[in-house]
Amino acid sequence: MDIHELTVDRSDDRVTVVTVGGEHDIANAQALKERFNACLDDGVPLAVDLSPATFIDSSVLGVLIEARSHAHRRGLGFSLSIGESGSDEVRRVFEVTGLAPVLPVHRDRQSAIEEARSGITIE
Amino acid sequence: MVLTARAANLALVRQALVGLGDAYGLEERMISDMKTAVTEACTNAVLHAYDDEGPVELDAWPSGERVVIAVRDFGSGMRPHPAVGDGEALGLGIPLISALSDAFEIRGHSGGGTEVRMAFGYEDETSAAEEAIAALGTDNGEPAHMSPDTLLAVADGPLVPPILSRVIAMAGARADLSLDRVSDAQILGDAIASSAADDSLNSFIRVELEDGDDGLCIRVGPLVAGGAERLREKMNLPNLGRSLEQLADEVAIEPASNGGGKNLEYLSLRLSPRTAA
Repeated sequence: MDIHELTVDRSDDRVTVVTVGGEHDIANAQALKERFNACLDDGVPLAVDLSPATFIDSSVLGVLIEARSHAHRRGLGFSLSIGESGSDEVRRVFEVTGLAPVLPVHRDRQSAIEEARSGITIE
Repeated sequence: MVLTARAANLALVRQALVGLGDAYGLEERMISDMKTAVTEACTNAVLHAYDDEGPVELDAWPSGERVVIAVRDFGSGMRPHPAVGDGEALGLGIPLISALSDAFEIRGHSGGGTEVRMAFGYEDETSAAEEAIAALGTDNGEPAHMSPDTLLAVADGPLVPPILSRVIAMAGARADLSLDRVSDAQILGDAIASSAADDSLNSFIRVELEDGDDGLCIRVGPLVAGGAERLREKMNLPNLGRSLEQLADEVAIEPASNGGGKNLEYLSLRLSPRTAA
């Protein structure tokens, strides 16, 4: 049973889409961070799709915030989607921390991909 | 429940909470809040309590209209620590606990150790804060003093099957058991849940789990003298479908080292990481 599912889609050369499923916490936050960094180091905007994720904790929020900063330092777009029917846990963590507008978090994957592609948005 | 304060064990804690939520018939929202807040409390123990490793203990009990969960470590407290995880460096752990629980408190113990105690309401009300804080004051049992990989102690009743089944399944998956063998482990868990209470101490069914390269070891006990043999016989009843020896690769009765002259013992079951016969 793999509880840390991760797929990287580079089929569009204008945006890399990393889809994150399963449960993520301090046990694998570092691995997520390295994966996001590696994608951004290729110089392509990054969209992270958390819709299949069933759990994230504060260490993962930290990794997402850092990935966004990393992207912006390189002048690349970054955005997140949590899906229309994503897990309650994931949605709630963004709600209660107030991070949804900051990151920014989209409900649907396509909007997140388009935003990442379009470059840096309002801080 | 007692586990080693290790990041890889956080997923086990969440499985136990889902089992608890199912048994109490809790709303999804409440289970989800419990999972997040308790993960954050355990993460604090993993990052701050010990230089190396040590135990983290979880207790859960109902109190009025709430469920109270206590997470304790026996380390040196929530001292500042070089940032290991980025979220931790952001300091979002405690705010999340605060936002998701009705009330919480952090207690430092004079002899070392920190306890994070959280109350979660059955209904989404924030007005009953005083009541929630009062719920935190209810104490529950004494701390355990041993540290196998994972120790579960569940009062006999409806909580036992769902918690045991979920935690055993995840420990089996971590021990690289095949799906068939994980299913065997769950059958054993159900048999323990339905048969172990009579010979357990204080009506608490206690199960130790160790997962490693050599598979999953499930130790039930301490049991009263003769209890391990009686449990082995009960678990061999035909209604189980398969005999105990078919489900477990090794079955052993072990004396408890600290039985205090009462001849306490364990029933030890091992499942190897091989495919089902």
